[in-house]
Amino acid sequence: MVLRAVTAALIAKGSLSGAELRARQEAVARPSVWNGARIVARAWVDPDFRQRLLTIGREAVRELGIPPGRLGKLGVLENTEAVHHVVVCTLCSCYPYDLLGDTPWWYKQESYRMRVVADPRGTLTEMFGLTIAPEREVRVYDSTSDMRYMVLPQRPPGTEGLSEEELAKLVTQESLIGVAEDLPPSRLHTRRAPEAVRLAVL
Amino acid sequence: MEATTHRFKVGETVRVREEHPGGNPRTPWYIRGKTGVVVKLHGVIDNPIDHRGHYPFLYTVMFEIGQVFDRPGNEKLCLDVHEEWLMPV
Repeated sequence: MVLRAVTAALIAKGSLSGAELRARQEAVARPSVWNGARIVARAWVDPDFRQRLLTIGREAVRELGIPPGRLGKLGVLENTEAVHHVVVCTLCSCYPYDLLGDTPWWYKQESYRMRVVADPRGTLTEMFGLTIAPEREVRVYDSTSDMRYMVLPQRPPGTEGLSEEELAKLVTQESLIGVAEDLPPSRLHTRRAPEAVRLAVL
Repeated sequence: MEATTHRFKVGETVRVREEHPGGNPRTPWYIRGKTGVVVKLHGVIDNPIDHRGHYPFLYTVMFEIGQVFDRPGNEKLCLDVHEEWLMPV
């Protein structure tokens, strides 16, 4: 109510045009990797949410005020000490982009897609510098349009004192696909929430 | 989601058809003729943005990468396959 009144006053005064307002609203509503980061951070701090996310997938993200999207079903792959997951789509580039934003450029490259299904450990090491311990199982998920996957990375050590928002800032797009997992708290100072989110709180 | 009407159960060994059974074409070529284990039942997925109508029941099937690509290693490969593509072993 108050927001609407302020917005109307700004438009009336000429300091904000309707087009500018719409552009900002679209930027805020656009799915982005920040959605994924918030989902992961909540799952790290709230075991009940984590369980709902693993069980009901995208419907659980409504709790965070994130529009869940409608592209098939969302599978959430939880990394553990015993298992590391990595996501690919060999047929094209299926990904829950309606929830997590567009894929990185390399996700669509043949060099990633056909290689990671046949030799995941080698691909992770050579393309991404990520070495998975031999005793840890690697599971590749080759997506279709009906099931689209995100990886739930492990919470990094040394992050006990961080807030949920600080934890979200550690999560990278690569870690949501499973080609990175090192999310050190020291990186917090160099990362910021994306532009759309900063605009939303202006 | 109507799990009882799936033809195959979790833990069951299945083979992916080599010949296109008609209907949904989206099963990668490299997995055709390969044998894996059902790990999850998904029912019929409602996905009106990607395709009109509904495809048969969907399964997640886990394969051994070593067997699929005839190479050493203990990695696993999971694919989502519709029921029409699967045969009992």
